[in-house]
Amino acid sequence: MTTPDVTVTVIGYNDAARLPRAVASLRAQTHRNIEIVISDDHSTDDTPEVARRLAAEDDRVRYLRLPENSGGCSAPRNRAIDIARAPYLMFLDSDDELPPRAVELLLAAHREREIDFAMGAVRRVRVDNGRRTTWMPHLVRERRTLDGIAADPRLLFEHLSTSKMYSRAFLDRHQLRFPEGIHYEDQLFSAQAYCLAEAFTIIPDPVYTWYIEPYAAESSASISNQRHKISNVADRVHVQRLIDDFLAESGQAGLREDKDFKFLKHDFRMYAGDLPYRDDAWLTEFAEIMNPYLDILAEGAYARLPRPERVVLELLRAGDLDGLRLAARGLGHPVAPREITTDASGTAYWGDTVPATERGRRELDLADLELETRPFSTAYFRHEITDLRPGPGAALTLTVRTYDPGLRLPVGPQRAALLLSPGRRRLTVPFRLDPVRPGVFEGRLHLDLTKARLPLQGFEGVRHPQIRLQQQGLAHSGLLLAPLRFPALTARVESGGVAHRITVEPEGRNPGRLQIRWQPVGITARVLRPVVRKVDRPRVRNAFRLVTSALK
Amino acid sequence: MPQLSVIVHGPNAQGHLTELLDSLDAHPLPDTEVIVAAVGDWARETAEGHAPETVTVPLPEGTPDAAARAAGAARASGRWLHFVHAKDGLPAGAPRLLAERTAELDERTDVVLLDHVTTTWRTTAVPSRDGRLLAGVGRADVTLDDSPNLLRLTPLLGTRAVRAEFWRAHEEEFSGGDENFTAQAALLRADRVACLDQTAYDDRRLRPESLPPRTPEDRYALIERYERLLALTEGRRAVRTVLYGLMVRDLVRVFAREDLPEPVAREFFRRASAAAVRWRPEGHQRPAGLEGLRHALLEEGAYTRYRALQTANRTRRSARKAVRARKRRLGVRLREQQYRRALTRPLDPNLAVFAAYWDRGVACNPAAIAAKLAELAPHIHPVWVVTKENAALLPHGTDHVIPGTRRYWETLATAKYLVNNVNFPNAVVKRPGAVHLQTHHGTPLKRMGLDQREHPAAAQGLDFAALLSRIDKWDYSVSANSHTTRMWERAYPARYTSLDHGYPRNDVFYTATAADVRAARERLGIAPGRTAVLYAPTHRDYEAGFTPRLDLATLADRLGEDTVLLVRAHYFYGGGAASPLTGLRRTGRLIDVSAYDPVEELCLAADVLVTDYSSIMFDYANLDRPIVVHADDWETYRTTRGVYFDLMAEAPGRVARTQEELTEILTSGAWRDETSAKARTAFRRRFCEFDDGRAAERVVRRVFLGEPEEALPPVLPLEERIPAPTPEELQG
Repeated sequence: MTTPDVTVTVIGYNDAARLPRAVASLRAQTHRNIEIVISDDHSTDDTPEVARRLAAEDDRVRYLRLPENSGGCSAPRNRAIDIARAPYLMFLDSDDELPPRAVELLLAAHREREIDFAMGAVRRVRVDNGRRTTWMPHLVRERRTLDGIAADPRLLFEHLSTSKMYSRAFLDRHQLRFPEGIHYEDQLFSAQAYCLAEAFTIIPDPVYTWYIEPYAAESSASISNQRHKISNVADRVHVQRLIDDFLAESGQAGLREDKDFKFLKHDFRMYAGDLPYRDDAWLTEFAEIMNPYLDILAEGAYARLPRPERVVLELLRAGDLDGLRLAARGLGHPVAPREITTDASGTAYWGDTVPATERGRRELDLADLELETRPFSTAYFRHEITDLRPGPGAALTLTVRTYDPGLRLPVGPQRAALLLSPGRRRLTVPFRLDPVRPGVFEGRLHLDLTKARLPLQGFEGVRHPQIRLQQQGLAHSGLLLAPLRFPALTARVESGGVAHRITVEPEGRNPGRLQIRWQPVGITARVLRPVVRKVDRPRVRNAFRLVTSALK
Repeated sequence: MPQLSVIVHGPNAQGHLTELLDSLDAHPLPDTEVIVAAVGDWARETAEGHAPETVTVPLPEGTPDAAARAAGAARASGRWLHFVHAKDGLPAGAPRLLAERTAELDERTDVVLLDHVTTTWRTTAVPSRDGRLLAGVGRADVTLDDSPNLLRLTPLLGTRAVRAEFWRAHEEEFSGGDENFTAQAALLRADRVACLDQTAYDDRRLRPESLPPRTPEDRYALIERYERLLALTEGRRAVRTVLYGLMVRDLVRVFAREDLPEPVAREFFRRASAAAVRWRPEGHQRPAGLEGLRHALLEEGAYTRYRALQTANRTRRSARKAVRARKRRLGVRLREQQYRRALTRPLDPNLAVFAAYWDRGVACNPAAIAAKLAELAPHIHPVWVVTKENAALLPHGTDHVIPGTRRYWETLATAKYLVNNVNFPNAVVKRPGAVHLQTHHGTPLKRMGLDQREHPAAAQGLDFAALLSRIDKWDYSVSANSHTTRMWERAYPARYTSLDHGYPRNDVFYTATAADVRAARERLGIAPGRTAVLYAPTHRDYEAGFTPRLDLATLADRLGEDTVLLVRAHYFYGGGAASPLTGLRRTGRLIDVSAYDPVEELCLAADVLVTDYSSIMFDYANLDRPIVVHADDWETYRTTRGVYFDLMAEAPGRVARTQEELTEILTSGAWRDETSAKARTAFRRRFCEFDDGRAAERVVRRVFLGEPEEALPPVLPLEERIPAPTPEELQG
């Protein structure tokens, strides 16, 4: 038996359904001389039979079953390292895949020069809609070899252990193994690998396919995705402290600010988006775990964050839970605060009072948002639905409150419009916004969903209405925030022979927009849609557009 | 070493250099020097008039722009250079903005991109489309390779400031082309670029007909410019793709929009085609549709087919235009027919049409009448005529028709009641049995109707015969006082009945409660205890645009923190961040109420009214609160517009002829002294004659319910009326 070049370990727990796909992607590797270890964390489903069958089909496959369940990813990986025969190691989760040339390309990087590990791009695939993106694309854009992490600390953001091929000698030299008994073991392991490596190579080619379900139900979410559990928060902070300790011990304290920045920008940010939906009790517990850790982070790390994130962090630290929920709805979107306060020197702060502490004044200072002077199209407004009445039929009467803390709109009635574009056609519902007090407007509009024109084949999908304001020929479109929770409304609508079921619901995740869902039903769904789908090829579509534009 | 050198260069084209230098003078520029590379004698003389603040570099007539720039740059000592063409303008505070922005940047940033406005002979300061792109970049500095879309910004040299060292290192290269080349080349050569998403340049487009005609060589130069720019994108894929797209777009555009003579067009196409092939990025994707087809033909060099496509497309467009014009004509004829047919239907005695201010919306006397109608005669259905644009502003659930639609004509044909504060279109037919109620929209100070004939500034474009045929349709005319009734008799000589019942819109000044006044002030954000001055000047017929008549910033300053200025005038456009008004708005000392509706609410909220000749003074007098007249051009107004009485002699309060006097009156307390009160009493006796708070009721009962005049409630004497409480009374 010859020695394999690379050992790839597939770990799995009760995932017999997807295990064959993962193993198949390894058997299809262009580099053939590999060893495949299936490391089973003592599954209770069909995994043993499936794995044994796979091992029988291909003599490169070995099956390793842990005597008892470890509950994490570390033990299965470590046991596999113990029995691996190849000089290079890779890891794969049973629900993901390797692209066909992954092993070949990473191995080539190792053979090119002496390095401790090689890494490549991770292709993320949304399970719900099939959309593909590259994870942290700016870090892997070009091929390069780094002599240590200090050359580019941004790489701390790429904390996956799976998209890398490690030299076994490197792991053994530093006795580097996956930490057992904690969650987010990847983060600690990767941080250690980055810091200990003397040289590593990055290649721009995809070497890992990561299937993600970002909005899976809370109960079925994978371990790392269960953000609603307070223990999950504690685990994440715990691993950060372990990384901090490691950095201090290994003389890498200079990386601390970059690592803190990564924690705020990535790990904290994952929870921040959910904050509007959490109750006081949860937030209090969250703050109890988070705040002591936030207090020891480098100040420079905060300064590197975008202002809305700094505001959320500060409100959490100051214990302003209502403000926290309000501010968190504006993360990642241009959503204004409801109110700002100006101190004697003219500096504007988030909220209705000038912050009492120096830290508060630093973090809640909104000067860099330029609320008063931004071009109108990028100005900050906040449109909230304060009242939502269904009926009659597929119609809604909405009361919209618009906050304009930058006082961009002249006092007086405003021409506003709600925009909704299902199936590439726009429905515009103009309405009047009346001043309530400076910086606050309110208006009522009647949104009749049967008025939205839809293509013959119907429209299937989700849309979030926007509010448009205009000033001196410039338009501003902003998102429309709905109440976080309200009972979903469903109606069957038929117009022009096209039948749909329309659902109006809260978005259910940040920032909580009004969400409208179209589902073709009846003859539209059974006949028209399949037929049009069949004919609708890019070529036909282009020709069709050319003809219609010529006839216009 | 100053932070910024503003280098003005070029000839004094059409005299615009004078404005530019004046505007620079008006604002002190710390840390900034101004160098004028003056081409020609006129420019030199103008520039020397502004010494010593500016350094003049005299250059002979006919010096090209590039040479003038070089000469200016050679004298500059600033860290950053901003080239300003002598024809263009700089908004107030622009150099300060630039100096501050550049001071934030480190050595690696070579170019700062800024936003601009465009001015032509007929438009002023139109915002550019660049704002969104600039704002997208934010405050961070970036490389062009990361944000290649910055190439899509308008390529004007004035919209980018350059680091002096960077400029000097590349000066020779940058000077080898036209201004657009220089602007784009600087961007392509820059190490890093930063953005300033605020307006700091005014691009003046001279009339093309006032410039020398363009030669074929000028056309070919466009291709050459792009080829040289593309040569700078070697190995920069993203930048190359964007620039290539821009080139093809511009070349196709020149070809489509400018009528090139045949040989020039053929040669241009040949060269453009060669360039499109030579620089085509790998894997380039053409846009879909007709535009993609054009690009494909260009790349193939298929001149004849391209021309054929163009001809076909032009034919298609003219055919479409003809079809649409025909459709429109047919539509008009159809509407006419529908209107005529509707006229044969019986009148609907329970239908009333309302309109105000040329279909602007629910406002003025018609609004007050409609509200009272809903109360006293709910069986009559009101329909408002509103333009499509203003329909969005209607109160929720108002039944309305859009002018020109079928329902509009049918409603006008069958409604028994037609109520307007101006006139309905000439085409509207007066049916027997229909009632036209003209409410007017103000007590006249300036001359109206036929009386305008002797005043050409006012009579401009008026057709008096049509006016007479319109007033002949009136059945009733609402009047607030005997003065109005008499003046209408001479201005609008016709057989209508004058309703001397008062103005319905003024009822609110007697019916409003303390809570209403408080609510109005809260909505506007006037803190309790502050004095609110409502400033509402009138429009002048003899002025083309709007000219500010008061320096509001200074006035607000003098009046102090406890005064709020409510300004109903178009002061605020294009002010930008540097405008001192922005700060005053922020602190709530100045509120722009130009768009506020209804205006009666502003009156309720204000402690004092400042106006010139606006009819708002007659309405405001009902509140028995102080009025100050600011009449800086009474003689001009009286002569050009014509007036019915001498406002200076019979003013409702104190009269100021200058801003200084106005400030004095407002700060000394004279605005509410006894003299002022006495003048107001006389004024009210004369002009608030019938306004007692029950005008709408009288009009509705008379016109819609057919009650005789004797049955109506009599007008309450002035002494017995109780106006809405003043803000001051709310305090006590």
